[in-house]
Formats: sequence, structure tokens, C-alpha cells
Amino acid sequence: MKNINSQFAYETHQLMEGADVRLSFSGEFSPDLITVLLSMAKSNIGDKLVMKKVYNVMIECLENLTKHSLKIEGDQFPAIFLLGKDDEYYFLATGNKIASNEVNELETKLIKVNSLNKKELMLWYNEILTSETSSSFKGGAGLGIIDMALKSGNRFEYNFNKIDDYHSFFTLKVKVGQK
Amino acid sequence: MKSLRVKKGDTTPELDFDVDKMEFLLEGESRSQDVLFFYEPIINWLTNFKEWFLKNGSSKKLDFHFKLEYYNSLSAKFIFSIFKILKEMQVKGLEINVFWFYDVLDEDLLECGEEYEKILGFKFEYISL
Repeated sequence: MKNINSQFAYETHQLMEGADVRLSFSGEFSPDLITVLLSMAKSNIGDKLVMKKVYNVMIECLENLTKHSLKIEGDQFPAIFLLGKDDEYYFLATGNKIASNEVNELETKLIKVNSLNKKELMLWYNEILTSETSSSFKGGAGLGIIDMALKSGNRFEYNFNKIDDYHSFFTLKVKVGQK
Repeated sequence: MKSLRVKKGDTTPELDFDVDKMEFLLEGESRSQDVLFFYEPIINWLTNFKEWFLKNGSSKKLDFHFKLEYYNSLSAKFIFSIFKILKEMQVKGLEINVFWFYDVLDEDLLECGEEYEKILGFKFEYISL
């Protein structure tokens, strides 16, 4: 039987305060919730330039969570989103369950994005933008991840945590520099 | 040809394509996850507008006020399609003025405009707010 310790709130609080977490949610991400989270983020970040960048990256992050989280029946915790602050950066951290057979493809893409500079990312972006593949529209053909890299201007940090043979938990940290 | 108007939604922008005044406006945020639902009728309308204009259009000039503050990557492809159709009309002799509005701090949005310009061979006018 599960029995949550009475110190749970304290421990969670310490964890969140330690990482300077401004905003967090764990569970299912509905369109209404996304609207609320976005407007909270907007009012939380004072610097307008940083806010705009965070906002842009956040839109893509949350979209990815709703689109790519593995839907397992009865699972109330398919994904998590956090907006926090390091010494140098605001960071957006996401986590979601994915099928293990999707890990390779996703990792290949992340490695590629991380290896490119701004100019190369833009070329790649334009290539997808102008290609006539609007019919195979599932997921915007990968524009989102390039867009995030461009807006962030920093390398992605990520991890794949094996849950079992069929499921993994994918975490991604996107940094946005503050002025 | 009837003008096309769409009211602003939670995740979709306001759109006013006024055929009588030959003034187009797209304003707000475009971050819907069901972009096809929102943009497909617009692209269809524009395609019809192009055909109608080439046959019947008397005006020589169209102003397009692009005032999107944010658009997600799903919307980007459709925005590109909109500009592509406008470009086709420009090639046929219509003078098109694209006014690209952006927050003076938002260099990313300015750069997006410049990329569309470059790809399509358009000339935008930038208005910083």
C-alpha cells in the first residue's frame, strides 16, 4: 500500500525552491491548461526579450508533450513540464513517456540539431518550410525542434530513462539566456 | 468576391481579408494545434481570390498588415503558403505591400520576416513597435 510521508510537501518544496522552479505541472496537458501555463509564464518573467523567447520555446515544448507523450490507458502522468532558473539561464524542462522503439529516431534528430550552428539550422528549417510535404502533416515535419534550437541559441540537454523493455522516459532541457 | 473575416480565438489570430479595400490583416497569436482546421479554408479562399482577381480585379494594389506576435512551427508552413500565393499574384502584376510588424525587442520575429523575404523574393516593410 502506498503511504505518502507527511514531509512530502516539504521535500517537494525544497526541491522546487532549489531549482528555482517558477512553474510546473505534471499530468495531462489539455489545450486549456496550456493557455493558463503560457499566460502564467508571461507574467512571471520581467525581461520582455527573455519572456518572448521563453514563450516561443514553451509553446513548442508543450505542443511536443501533448503530441508525443505515449498514451497509455489509465495513465494520469504522461508528462511533466517545468520552468526554472539557473544562474545564467531560464530553463524549460520537459519529460514524457515514449515507446522505446522511438528512442533512436528522436536521439538521431537531437544529435543532428545539437551539431548545427545557427546558419545551418536556418537552412534546414527553410528546406522543410518550402518542401511540398504539407500533406504528410503529422507533427509539422520537425520544424518545431529546429525552431526551439534557434530561439534558445543553446544546445539541448536530454536523456532517455528506460522504464521497461517497451517504455522510456524522455527528458529535455532547453535553455534560454537571460540578459 | 466576398471578404474573409475570422474572429480571434484562444489560440488563433484575427484575420480580416478585405476585398473592397484591398487590405489584408493577420493579427495576434497563431498557436493552434489544429492548424489545418484553421488555415485550410484560408488557403482555399486565397486561391479563389487569386483566380478571381486575375479575371476581374480592377485594383492595382494590395496592402497586407502582418501583425502576428507569435506563431508556432505548425502555423509557419501555412503562413508560408499565404505569402506564396501573394507572391504569385505579385508576379502577375499586382502591387503588394507587406507590412511586417514586430516588437522592437523581438529580433527573432524580424529574422523570420527576413527569411520569408529571402525565400520568396519578396520585399517587406518592417514596422517596429
